[in-house]
Amino acid sequence: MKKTLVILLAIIGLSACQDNISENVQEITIGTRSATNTLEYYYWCNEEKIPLRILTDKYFVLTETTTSENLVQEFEKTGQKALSFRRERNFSYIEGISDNKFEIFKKAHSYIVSGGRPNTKDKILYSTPFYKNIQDEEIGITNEFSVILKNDADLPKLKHLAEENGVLFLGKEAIRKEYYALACTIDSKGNALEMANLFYETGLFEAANPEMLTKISPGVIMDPAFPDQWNLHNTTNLGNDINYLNAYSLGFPHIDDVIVAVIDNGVVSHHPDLPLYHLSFDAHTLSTPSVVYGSHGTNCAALIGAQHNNEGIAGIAPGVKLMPISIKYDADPGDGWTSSADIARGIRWAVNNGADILSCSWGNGGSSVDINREIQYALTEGRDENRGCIVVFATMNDSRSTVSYPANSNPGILAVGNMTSIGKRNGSSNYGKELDIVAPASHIPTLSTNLGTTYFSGTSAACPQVAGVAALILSANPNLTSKQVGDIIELTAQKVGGYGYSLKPDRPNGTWHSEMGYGLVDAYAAVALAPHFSVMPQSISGPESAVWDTAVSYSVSTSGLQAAGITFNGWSVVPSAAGDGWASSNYSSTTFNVTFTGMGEYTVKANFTLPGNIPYSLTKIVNVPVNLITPQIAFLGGDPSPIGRYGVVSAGVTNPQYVGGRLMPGMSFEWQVNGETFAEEIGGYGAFPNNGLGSSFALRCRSHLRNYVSEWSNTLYVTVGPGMRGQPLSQPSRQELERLWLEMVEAAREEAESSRAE
Amino acid sequence: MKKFAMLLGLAVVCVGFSTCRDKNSEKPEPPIDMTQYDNYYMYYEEKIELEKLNNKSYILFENKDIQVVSQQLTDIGIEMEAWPLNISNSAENPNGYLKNCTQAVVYVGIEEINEIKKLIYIAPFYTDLSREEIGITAELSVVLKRESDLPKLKQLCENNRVLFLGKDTIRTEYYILACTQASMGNALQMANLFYETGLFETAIPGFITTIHPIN
Repeated sequence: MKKTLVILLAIIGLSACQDNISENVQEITIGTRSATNTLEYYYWCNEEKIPLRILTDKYFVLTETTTSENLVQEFEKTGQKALSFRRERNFSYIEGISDNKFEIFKKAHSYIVSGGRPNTKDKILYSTPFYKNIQDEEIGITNEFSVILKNDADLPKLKHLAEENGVLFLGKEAIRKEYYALACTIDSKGNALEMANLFYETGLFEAANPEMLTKISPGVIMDPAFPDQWNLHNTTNLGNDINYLNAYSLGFPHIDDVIVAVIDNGVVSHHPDLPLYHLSFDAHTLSTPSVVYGSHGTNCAALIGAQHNNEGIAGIAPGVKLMPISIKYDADPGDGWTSSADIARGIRWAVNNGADILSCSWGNGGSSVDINREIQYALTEGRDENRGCIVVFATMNDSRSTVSYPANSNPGILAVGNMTSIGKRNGSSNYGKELDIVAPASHIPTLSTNLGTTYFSGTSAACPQVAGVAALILSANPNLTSKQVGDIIELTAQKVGGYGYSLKPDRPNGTWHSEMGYGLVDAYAAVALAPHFSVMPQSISGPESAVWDTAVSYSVSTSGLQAAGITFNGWSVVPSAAGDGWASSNYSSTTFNVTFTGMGEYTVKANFTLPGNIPYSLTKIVNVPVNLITPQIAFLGGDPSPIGRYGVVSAGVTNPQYVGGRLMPGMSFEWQVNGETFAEEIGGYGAFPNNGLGSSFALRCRSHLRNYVSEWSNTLYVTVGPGMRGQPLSQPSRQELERLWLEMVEAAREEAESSRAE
Repeated sequence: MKKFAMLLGLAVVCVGFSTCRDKNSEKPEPPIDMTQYDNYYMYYEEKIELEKLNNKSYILFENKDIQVVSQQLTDIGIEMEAWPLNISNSAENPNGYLKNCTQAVVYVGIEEINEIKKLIYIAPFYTDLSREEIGITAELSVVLKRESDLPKLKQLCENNRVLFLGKDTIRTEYYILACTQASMGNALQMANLFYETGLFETAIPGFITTIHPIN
């Protein structure tokens, strides 16, 4: 009964709108009615309304095959472009369909017409606009939709509803047998999107889906080794990859304009999975073309540019121009000596012949002015308008805490380390202050010189991956400078592995760690940021140091962001609990006023959302210093037994660091007695008046400290925060503590007696 | 004034060299102690200390002499690792200096090969602080401060019997020079001497090292 009522209501609702629909004979009125008759554009997916935005310059058009060619010419005359979509509809996917009944559709030719509304009405059987979804992807709706019944017994209801709405019931699908196919015509009471929504919202059917036209990227990479390329998509330890599949979905529009010089021991030129650029150079003999001295160069180059062609592996930047610059390694056959001047010439040759990126998976210990000067030349003179080449070097694999030469020789170099599949630094990967970024490079598939695949490890394998991501960035925005590309890679890095990444004064692009640099390279975030980087603010303006309880301001420029589709989402501060509230703040303005009521290190963040819903933050580290004044020791009371258990300290500080019974973030106390350090135990008593001048507070030593506190060992330090040790204190002697205790007991006794007497 | 004094000094050196110059003779005794330019190289403004190796040397000889040199080395039980010198690919070299030469690393100190005939150039190997082995080739490259300084460079080459090969074919702001046994010193010494005249932006000795792939 209830279902019948719903159908009835739906039909009545439709009838009320029918005039609207009927008025437009050739073009179906777009707009889908929800159960509340609200006009909006959407479709249903998994019980969720997916919003759509209508496009006015692109249409799905159905015309008779016999008139279609003339129609296309008419479109062109009016500046429109018609792309043939389906020449004839093959209804073989419908079980037992009658050819005669749907003859008009069988002979229909469908087009996607762009450039405006089709105006040749008399030759068009059906037309409907395109839409865009929230991801800004274009979606066309054909005249067909399909329905799944809840019960087979509901089939008459479907047929009835179709008839009531002027929708053709085509029949049961032959392949997806639970589906029934339907089609709209100009006589239907809505287009396929509207009808699908209406049918679904009756509640009678499990699903009602309009046939959608979308552009499908080759989203599935079919290269046979791809499932093993955990560096691109780590299915075992999620998140520990370069986020490649998401990057791939963005597309790499100008990748074939990007040239990556692979400075290595040569790249095989006959590998079907690895096409090479026509320019190459051998730095060993200073002649062209390049020479293959070993397999290492091929292993590296494949990670950058292997084709997505159902063969071998999938490179990060398929279609990029690979320019081999061959040098000779010590392990290669024949002599193993290489001239630094010749390597320098190889670099210069690559730069002068258009290389955008230099990928260098090698190193040596002899610092060379020749090589240094060429790296600087590449960084500053390379590419059009001196945008600079992106120079990527491996940190080498000596298990050392220093980055090797040349990776350490110029801050403009991207120095790349090796990460394991669980997000940790590979033990062999050199690290240290020059490390910029890591890539997953522990046992990953690559191409071999014998046309097969092999496994490759080390920072040698990490370096080309960052070079590949740099190529993707340039494909998204060829105008970026070398520094900007490096900044993007560093700013968007993934903070994996559970390391204590932190902000450093000489590391402006976010938090950093000596073993991981800025973290794991993120191809998706980097490519998404690249087109907008020139309009993005590069930093937060405002002081790097603030005084406790004094308001300071921070600001960012948001000029041009809205036009680029970037949203400014306001500010945040971590640790958020530190200040126990902000005196004044406006989180949504581009200027942020904040008062730090605690001390230590804070991170101020300006938060944005890039197109594609990608979060992005600028950060600034702010130090609110602690200023100890010379502390004094006093005995404030407490249980003196056993003597010395309590080290009682009265100290003055310019700011209260002991608020509400806990330490402020980043601060700690420790006792040091005769050179031995003890962590604090904070007693629950003592007071800090919030007057900025400080007062007394109480610290209770660990119980075993009593063994060290005696009349003979009287030196005590209080340390507040890293490296902020106060002046040595004179610990009360045991006798003094006993005397103080007795005085207190006596005073308490006298007070009690006095009270009783009164 | 300082530059004038420097040029005067160079002129004195030049006169000194000219007086003992004999194109067909062995290396003349230089009027200044060339060992002061040994055992370091200039890394920008910093002196990088080098330690001479006694078990490895760099040599250069004409291609036609390869059998002779090889036989002499074999006779005294010394191994040689040789490959062609491509000097014409790196410098304009209109005079064809060192055009048909072979370079080699021999696994012995220079003192033990001084008597080997037909060697055009001999230089030691060193290690740097990171213990990386560095050989000194015959080549050195110089960048002028101004193009007008070119005559000074040529003069200094002549004074020190260093071959002037012309512009680098790829790095065109560089001038390529080459040392022989007739030069006043090896390429390391000459690069240091040239750089320390203050006349040039840089003077870089030719190094050979081993380059390591990283896997």
